[in-house]
Amino acid sequence: MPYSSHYLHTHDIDWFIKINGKLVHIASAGGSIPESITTDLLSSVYYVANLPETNDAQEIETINERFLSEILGLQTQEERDNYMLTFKSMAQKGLYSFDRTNISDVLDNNYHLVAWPQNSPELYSPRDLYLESLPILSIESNEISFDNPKKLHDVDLFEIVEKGIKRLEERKR
Amino acid sequence: MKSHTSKTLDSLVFAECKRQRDLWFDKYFKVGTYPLAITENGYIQIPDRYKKEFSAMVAGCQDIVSNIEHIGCSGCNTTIWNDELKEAFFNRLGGNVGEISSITGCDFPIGNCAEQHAANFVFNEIEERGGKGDVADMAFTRAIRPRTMTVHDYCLNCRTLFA
Repeated sequence: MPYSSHYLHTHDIDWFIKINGKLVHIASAGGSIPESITTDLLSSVYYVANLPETNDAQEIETINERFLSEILGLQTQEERDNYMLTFKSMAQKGLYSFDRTNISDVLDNNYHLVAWPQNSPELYSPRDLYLESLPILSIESNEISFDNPKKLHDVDLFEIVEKGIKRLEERKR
Repeated sequence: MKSHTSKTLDSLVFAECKRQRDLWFDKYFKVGTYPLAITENGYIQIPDRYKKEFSAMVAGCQDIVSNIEHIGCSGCNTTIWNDELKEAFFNRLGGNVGEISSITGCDFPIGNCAEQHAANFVFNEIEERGGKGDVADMAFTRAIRPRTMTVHDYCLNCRTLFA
């Protein structure tokens, strides 16, 4: 389903993509979403909704406190807990969960990783087979690495995804 | 731009943010509760529940003269904009609903913001009671992002419009 630019810029939409084999959740916070993603967004939402939680709350890692207090201005623990709630919940489903950093600038596509699962799913588990069947685009990119998640901020995810999709389309031709 | 201090309106804004968060958890964490349906012509239909998205922002507005108050969400379905407010859009922002302000240059199109939707509800209700709203009489709660419950600055359009 195509989304109007008015809808995109007034809603905080969850979108999903696989990057370098990792399942990624992105909160748009009124930002742009690549068109190839929005065409089948609802199916991906449905399948992620039915993905079971594979990590306990204790098994979720979150971005460092300094980033949250200095960049986002979250001073109290309650503010930080409230901020992280939906991102941690996505990480419990095994997703790397990102938020758009500068939401007052609609054109700023920089994102930071908020929460991620400590344990990667076992290879060839039924869960992985399910992930393979997800209606979610899978791209490869050497502009992002999940080896050191705490360093994943100021990431232009929109550009990385657009480039990845372009490469996929070129390969198909 | 005037800040609002009524606890009632503040709590309505928080209640709306909480309602949206509850819907989000309902959407992603009630596994199997809302199965797919097959339509008559054989298409798979995903339940409407999965189409619900967070508003980017929620805010409340109160007319300090009449005390009429309302909350608004960015992107809510306002189809009829109040004439007085439309005139203020044009005079103070140099544009119409959906356009970029020629005066502020703010990237958010006119009529996008939760504050402007909330003010529209208030203007309409003032009009229904036989009065006329004035942008200078509008006071606002803090703008809250429902996903994170974080407080955000008003945009340049809102600060100029409701100065």
